[in-house]
Amino acid sequence: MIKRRRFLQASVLVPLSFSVPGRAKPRVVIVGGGFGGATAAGYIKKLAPSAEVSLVEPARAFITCPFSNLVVAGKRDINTITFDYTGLQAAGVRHIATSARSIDPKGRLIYLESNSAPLACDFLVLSPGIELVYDSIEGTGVRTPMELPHAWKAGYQTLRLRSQLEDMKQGGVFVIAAPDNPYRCPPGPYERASLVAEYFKRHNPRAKIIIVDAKDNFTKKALFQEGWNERYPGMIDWVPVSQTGTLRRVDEDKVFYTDFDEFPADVGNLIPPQRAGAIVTESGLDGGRGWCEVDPGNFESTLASNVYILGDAVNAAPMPKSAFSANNQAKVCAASIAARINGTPPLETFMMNTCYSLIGEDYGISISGVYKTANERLVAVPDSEDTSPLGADKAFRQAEAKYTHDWYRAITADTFIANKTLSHEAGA
Amino acid sequence: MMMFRAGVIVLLTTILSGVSLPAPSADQSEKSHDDRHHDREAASRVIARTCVTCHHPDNRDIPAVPGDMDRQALAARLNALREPDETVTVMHRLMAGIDEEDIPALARVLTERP
Repeated sequence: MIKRRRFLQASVLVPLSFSVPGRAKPRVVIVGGGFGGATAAGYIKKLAPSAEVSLVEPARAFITCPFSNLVVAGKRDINTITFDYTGLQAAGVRHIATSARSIDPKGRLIYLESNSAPLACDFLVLSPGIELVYDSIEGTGVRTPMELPHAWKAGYQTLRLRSQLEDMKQGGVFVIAAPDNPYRCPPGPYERASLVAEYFKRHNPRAKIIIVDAKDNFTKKALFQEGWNERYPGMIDWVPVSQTGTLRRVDEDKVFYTDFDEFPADVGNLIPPQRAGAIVTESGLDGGRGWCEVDPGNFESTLASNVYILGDAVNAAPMPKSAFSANNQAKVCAASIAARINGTPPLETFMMNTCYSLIGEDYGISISGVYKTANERLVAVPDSEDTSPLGADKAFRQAEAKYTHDWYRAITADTFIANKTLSHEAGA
Repeated sequence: MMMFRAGVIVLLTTILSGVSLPAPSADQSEKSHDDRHHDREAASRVIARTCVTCHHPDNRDIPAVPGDMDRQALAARLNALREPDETVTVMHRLMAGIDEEDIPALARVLTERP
């Protein structure tokens, strides 16, 4: 908090001096090629073309969590939610296709899997996403993600859950264990239940879905429940923590044990508690709290200068952990880094978020908000945070479903500088 | 989408390009009219970058921004979105987060040609 004020006062508005002999270009290294990291890379290169921008990301292409529920439900092929880095590379971003093994935040050094010499930089941006934490649930182990796929990082896990649902017996039970806040994509478990229900309605009409929830409330709850009653009456059973207690244990027969109940599953989707990606927790940038604190004015870590952290790894409340949030946070961060490189004044934070969710292919709902800083804290602008109305007509829900698809095409084009033509007809 | 003219296709793309800001004055408390104008414009570019996340860098999607709108018409439309009709889904909520005094500069940034 104090840091931000000091930064503003101390803003000597000349370009930072990058006076290492023989190297005039400021170096920016971004770790993590998801919505936060990829957006930051592209925008820093655009806004500060003199910078040398490197993106450290082991994958050749990124598979998005947004729209992965459509893959789980068999409505889309996974290729249609996969984006490579060629657009960013064409824009001048260097893709270093290896993992960051560890970082030294003070020295701004990045140790790579593939190289013994660390990368050094002037600005380090970390967008590591989440780590799944099974510790609190007895009976979990290395095989748990295979047997009870989380599908909370898109890719192989998404396909594994998809194939288990396809193979589920007629009239079987699909159990989703939803974690307590905070976690990646707050409406995700409920959208998943909705789209799987739409799949079951056609292919497994006697199937049941049970959501064993670590919460007593969830985002857009009334809207989801209205949609479930209308589209999938009797199929989805939501069980809150006040009724069943905490999830304590799972076993090899796919039984979920809470304090008061047992839920045997034919297919189990265990979405465990989460914390910031290992690269930041192992370097202490989460302060031991599991999520990283940042200056909301520029997303610089409160624990290390010239180290910026974005996306799901950050405690950016009241913003939710969403792709949209990560994308908008990255733009604020990029503008701030570019301003420092270019010697221009720092800018006020302005961010938006809209979380669209699909209750059915032609039934969309949303929650949105606008976020600024006030008294050096991140706040939602009054009246900006709200959801779609209850009781809206079919045309309204159809319009929001269309906008969900339009939004997906827009954010992926913006983030990955992708030219992919994606229609919502594409897919399996 | 065919109805949207090429002019607006470039509209959001320009937001992505660099901002050329003036050299700041030595004393921030005695800003000239020009400096305040440029601050407002820089702030509007920050706001405009958030539009891209839904409306696409090419302004292809959620195409509620008619392509032939000029600056005044776009400013009027943005202000009108504060009081939604039944076709508006999220924009009235997002407009609640944008100050009315930022609208002229935002409309200028969104309609400028490269």
